[in-house]
Amino acid sequence: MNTEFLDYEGPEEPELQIPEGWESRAPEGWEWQTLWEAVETGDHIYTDERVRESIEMGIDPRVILDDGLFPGFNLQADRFSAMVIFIPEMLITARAMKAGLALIRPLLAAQAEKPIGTFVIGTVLGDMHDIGQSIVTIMLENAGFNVINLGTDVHPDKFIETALNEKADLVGFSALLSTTVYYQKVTIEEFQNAGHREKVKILIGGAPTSPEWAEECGADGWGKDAVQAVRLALKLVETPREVWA
Amino acid sequence: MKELLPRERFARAVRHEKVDRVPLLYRMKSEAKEKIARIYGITKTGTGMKHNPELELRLGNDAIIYQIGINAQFSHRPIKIGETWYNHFGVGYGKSGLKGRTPEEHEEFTKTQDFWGPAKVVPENFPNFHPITSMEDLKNYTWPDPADPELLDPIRTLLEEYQDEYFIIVDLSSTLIEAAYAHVVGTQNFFLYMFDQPELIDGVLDGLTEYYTQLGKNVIDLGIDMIRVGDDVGAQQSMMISPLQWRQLAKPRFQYMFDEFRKSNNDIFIKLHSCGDYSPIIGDMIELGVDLSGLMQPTGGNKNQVELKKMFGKDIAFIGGFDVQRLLPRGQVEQVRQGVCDVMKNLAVDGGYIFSPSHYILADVPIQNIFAMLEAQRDFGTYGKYPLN
Repeated sequence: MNTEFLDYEGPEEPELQIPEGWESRAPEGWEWQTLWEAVETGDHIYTDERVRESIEMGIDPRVILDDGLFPGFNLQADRFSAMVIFIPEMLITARAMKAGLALIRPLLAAQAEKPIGTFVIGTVLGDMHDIGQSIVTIMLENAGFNVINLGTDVHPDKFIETALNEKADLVGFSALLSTTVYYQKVTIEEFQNAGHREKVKILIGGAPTSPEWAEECGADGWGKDAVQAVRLALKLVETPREVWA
Repeated sequence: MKELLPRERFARAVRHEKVDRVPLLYRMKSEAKEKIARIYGITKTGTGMKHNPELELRLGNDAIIYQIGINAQFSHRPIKIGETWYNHFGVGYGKSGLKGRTPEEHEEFTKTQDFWGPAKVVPENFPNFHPITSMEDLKNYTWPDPADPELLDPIRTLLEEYQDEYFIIVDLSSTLIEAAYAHVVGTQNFFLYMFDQPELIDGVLDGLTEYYTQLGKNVIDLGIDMIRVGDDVGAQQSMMISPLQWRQLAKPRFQYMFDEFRKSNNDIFIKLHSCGDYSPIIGDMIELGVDLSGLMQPTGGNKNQVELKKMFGKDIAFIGGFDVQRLLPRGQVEQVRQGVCDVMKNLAVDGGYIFSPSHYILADVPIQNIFAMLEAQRDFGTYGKYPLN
């Protein structure tokens, strides 16, 4: 039976990208392989142990993040995007990554390393779906964003109030029902009415959404999946905006 | 071909036999149903376990579908602000869209929902309490009664009143993986426990299999025509879990369930439903002896209807495939008409097809699009005429 058309039409199965010259940034005889595998297979307990150990060894937190945590995570993110793995595997990898990040983030902050930008995210009013936006949140955090997740069923006023208080660079809202995508449009209009639309870039996503809908509702971008959403966020954060007062 | 009785038309189509026209099955959520019913002057618009088929039969449905699964009550039930309502599984449900809002504000809020035509959207009901999240919970849990007269008695009435003319389907959705993640265990919990506590997932799925097998056998014994097993494992672009995981967790349990159903009645028709993209497991459905597969959501991964029909269409009948995500709620009348024609061309040629939107008609669908769909399905759904000549 020909099942070819069911397969993902894209690149070959992604491979682990080993960070170039990692040996020179680690103590003598150090290895990251087991941590890469732990993040890949979602072993959050081992990830936590190894990150603690790395911090105790005095390895730079930025190095732990880039050389220790990202390779396994990026591999799974690419596999997820290529539909080689599915939501459960992505979730446990995200959980492992979160365990490592929780230890590293305070150290990065202490080094005065600034987040790339502030991203306010949530699911629109009337909609309780949150798996997709939870994955996007963790991936944005990995990419260096300060992310404020407002959860599900978020009123437009709440998005605006938070964006204002946090001086957000980007705002993203997800909707999973054809009846709730309408609130993506409403929320954007409310940003407009409040006079804050030009201060943030707005991304939307969710099953019934599309690039056409993003344009129609006045968003700045649309992510097909979590990986695309993060790429887009990295691009949009660089574009000029009105500054918050 | 002479005009067939609806019951005969539906059964023949599932068996890939010749029919006069493509059989129909429309389903609506209560807001949409009330909206359409007003036009026909129909006042009995019950949905879920209070289903009244009058409107659907008026629109041309050949089958009557009655729900008794875990989804039957919650999604059709009015739940008050701040109320958590518990069903017979002990799962709690509340309403979205109301966080911190007063009843007056809610009233005002629902009034402003007239968009994309004369629709009134009320916030959806969502599960907010999951009864089994530990082995301890599982050990102390009592599964519902599969012989509950509240579930079975309305089916007797339905059979007496309608089966002479119409095809009777009883819907057990959601039945297995979906019942576990969406209701009993919780979605994120379910995916994490697959790795952290596989014995808990096995225990919950075994409990659901046993309950639904017995419930299914009880309704089959009443003399229904088709049992519908609904289990959402498809996401928009791919499956939610891998096909491999589905084959480990779901397939053997469905095999047991369907074998038991056939022991009760060897001729029972079995429908297996999933939302989203489930194309990687259509071959498995055929191996399980499933007669009808739907709802062929065309906007995500399984949009290649022509290929799906070519590959699997001889071994399994299809239902659905007409886009409810974008086309039906937001398309222009001409696009809706063309969409119906395309689906008929893709899936109805050579039979083995039942026309249906790829899910419930929701409140956001404008009336003119519903009528465009009804008209197009009459125009393009007759065998011997374009495009089914």
